Amino acid sequence: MPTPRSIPEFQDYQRAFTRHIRDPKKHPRPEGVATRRMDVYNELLFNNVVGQVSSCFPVARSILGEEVWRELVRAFFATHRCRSPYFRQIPEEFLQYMQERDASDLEPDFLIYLLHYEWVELSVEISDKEADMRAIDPSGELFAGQPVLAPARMLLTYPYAVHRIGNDYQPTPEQQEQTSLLVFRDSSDKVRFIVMNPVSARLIALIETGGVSGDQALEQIVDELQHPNPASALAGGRKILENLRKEGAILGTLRSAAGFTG
Amino acid sequence: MRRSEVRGRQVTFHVLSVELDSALRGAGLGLRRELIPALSAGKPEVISFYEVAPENWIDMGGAKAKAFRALTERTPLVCHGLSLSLGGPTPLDEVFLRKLKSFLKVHQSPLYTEHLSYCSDDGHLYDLMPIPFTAEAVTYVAKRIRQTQDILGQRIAVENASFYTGSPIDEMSELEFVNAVVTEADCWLHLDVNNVYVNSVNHRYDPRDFLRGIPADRVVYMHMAGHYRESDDLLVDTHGADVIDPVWDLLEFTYREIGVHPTLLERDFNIPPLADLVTEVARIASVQHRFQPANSHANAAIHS
Repeated sequence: MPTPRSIPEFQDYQRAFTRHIRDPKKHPRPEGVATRRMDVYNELLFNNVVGQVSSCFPVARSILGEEVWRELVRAFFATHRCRSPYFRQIPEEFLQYMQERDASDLEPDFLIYLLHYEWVELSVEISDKEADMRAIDPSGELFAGQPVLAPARMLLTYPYAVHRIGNDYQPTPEQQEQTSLLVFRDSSDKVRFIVMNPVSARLIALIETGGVSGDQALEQIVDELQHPNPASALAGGRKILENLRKEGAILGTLRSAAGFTG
Repeated sequence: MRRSEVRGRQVTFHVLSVELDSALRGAGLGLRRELIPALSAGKPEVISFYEVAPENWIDMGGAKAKAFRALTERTPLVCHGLSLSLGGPTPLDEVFLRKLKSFLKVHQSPLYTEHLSYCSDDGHLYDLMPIPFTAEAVTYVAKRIRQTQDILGQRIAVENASFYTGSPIDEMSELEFVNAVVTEADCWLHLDVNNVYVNSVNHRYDPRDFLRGIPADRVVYMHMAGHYRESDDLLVDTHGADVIDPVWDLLEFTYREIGVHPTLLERDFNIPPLADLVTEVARIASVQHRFQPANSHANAAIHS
């Protein structure tokens, strides 16, 4: 008596079909399918994924060259299992795959950081975080008021100056340069970045926690630094605050509760 | 108890079909990101509705999402899915389906359709592959369509998908498979006229015979598109070219045999200026007018 099948026959066939598409060198074409027709699928599916991944990582792709790049995407396509139903998250799936795999010695040490930075730009561009401009006074006073940051943003620290990497600047591990960047979408929905110093990075972190005025945040930093000249440090910090608003990273200040009309 | 539940569902479907009828008519255009600036500046009157892949807009923010929202506030939006993988081997993504449900509600979308195909194994593959035409597959897919309809709380339409190879284990024809699935799932049919043409060439059948065999009373929506001719016996459904004359002829045949339904022009690659696409949308509308006097109901069939 035959044992009951746990997997229907048509699904066995589907598995053979997708195994071959993912990795045609390793898994043979399913029996009974014509080569030319199978190749249509092999090309359509792989080229689609190459296109989706490549559009997010132009700098990394250009540095590695087309052949190496396609090999990387092929390995991703063959072995990674994408969870996201959204095409725009294919680059994130690729980044995750690259972070989990063992890096090859032949690749630049900065590659994974560069990929992350290129992904951050896309991610901030399409983030669904939106500011409620009714609650924000764009010309509010930043020192006494509570500064509000652009909500679609990421504050990141990399061991390399990732924002400068390109065909003309490919740092070796000896040329590491710790770099903090604030990547954000401004009020006209353009993605921008600002290189942070330790004070501005700390300031952003304090504003993120919420409930503090600009001056309160700055005073805490001056305290933490045990700055010999608190007054001049505060003045310097205030300039940073104003500059963050000029650049679009601070949208304004939170309107007071009394100012709400609902 | 069970009987009244079933009856309740039928009532819901009926109400929705009336809404579909009034909300959706005429000729539409696939809303690609590239077209948003031109359409935001002014929608040509001949475009009666838009269609998008909800996967491209769910959870999307930023400038493009704002422009998109502004367009859909004024014009009906059909959602044509890409990633549900109705024929796929792993359980339906219910988190995604719940997001889809709220997306349909936010945009007051009168219709959601998906492909009668699969696009995943134990991970997403982001393109459509052919479900083997077997009895087991009919039961399996119909159950998943029903499950989708239960979660969304509305009837969906499934589209006859283009495909490039039959499966060696096929037990029936494409036409028999489509008929069996929509009957067993009790869903609507989204008829892609270009896909009928592409498949008829790729798999050597008469497209008119195929259309005569389609369950006309389940058709609620249609697609027109261009394709790529790889060779005389192999067409690839790229949506990257103008609609060709034999497919226009087939649209006339379809309207005559099956009836006039809201029909969309798909264009996903080599996107020309809006004015060129509007010419094709206008041609769909003019064929519709020829086969249907202005005041009659587009979707009379689904009320029966």
